[in-house]
Amino acid sequence: MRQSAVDISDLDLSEDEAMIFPAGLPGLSDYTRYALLSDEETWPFYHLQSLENAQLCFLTVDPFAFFPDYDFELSEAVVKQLQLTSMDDVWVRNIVVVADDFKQSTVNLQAPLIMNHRTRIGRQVILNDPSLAIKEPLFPRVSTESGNR
Amino acid sequence: MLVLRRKVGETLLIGDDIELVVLGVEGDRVKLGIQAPKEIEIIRKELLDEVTEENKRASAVVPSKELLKQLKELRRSEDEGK
Repeated sequence: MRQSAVDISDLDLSEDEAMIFPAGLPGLSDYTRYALLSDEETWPFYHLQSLENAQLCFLTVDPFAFFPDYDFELSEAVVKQLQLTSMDDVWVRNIVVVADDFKQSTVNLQAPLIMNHRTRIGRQVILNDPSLAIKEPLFPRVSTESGNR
Repeated sequence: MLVLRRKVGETLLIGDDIELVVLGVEGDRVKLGIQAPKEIEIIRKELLDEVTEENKRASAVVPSKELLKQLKELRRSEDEGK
């Protein structure tokens, strides 16, 4: 039996705090309303919790905390769709796949979640950049050492 | 599905403003050129499939508070090792 990380009935969210992904996420187009949850204790990790399905929750990170050089360009189509008017509007989070051995966890740098925190509209953008990995090791030092020291 | 035969250099029009031109054929690879308005997004389907798979994998593991603490701890030790 799965346990949800967050009990959505406990979340005290007003409607304008929800983040709307109009097209859902690839593979999960049925769900469009999410909450991006964080507290100081878990930074730079954030839960992205579906507000429509209590069992649907992602672990995401602020990518710049791990990869300060992470850099990409957004297409005009994305800028327009998310109604971005300045860089200050943008929140970037990337979805983590937690491995059985959590040291081997990876993060999807190829398809960041781009959110406009002003308009509360978000989208998972597939960057189509060959230099970015879908499975980038989150802890490259630890995962390549594989315990030998 | 509409199936058409085109020769190298020939073009297809999709709607009013999308042009698809066959630039060349090398073995089993076809080189296509696409001219479309900037708001039309074009990606390889297998890339979308990979992201879909990765999202499913990600949503299959519920990150507990305890796990988060371990991940955070690991990040700190990595940072210190730099």
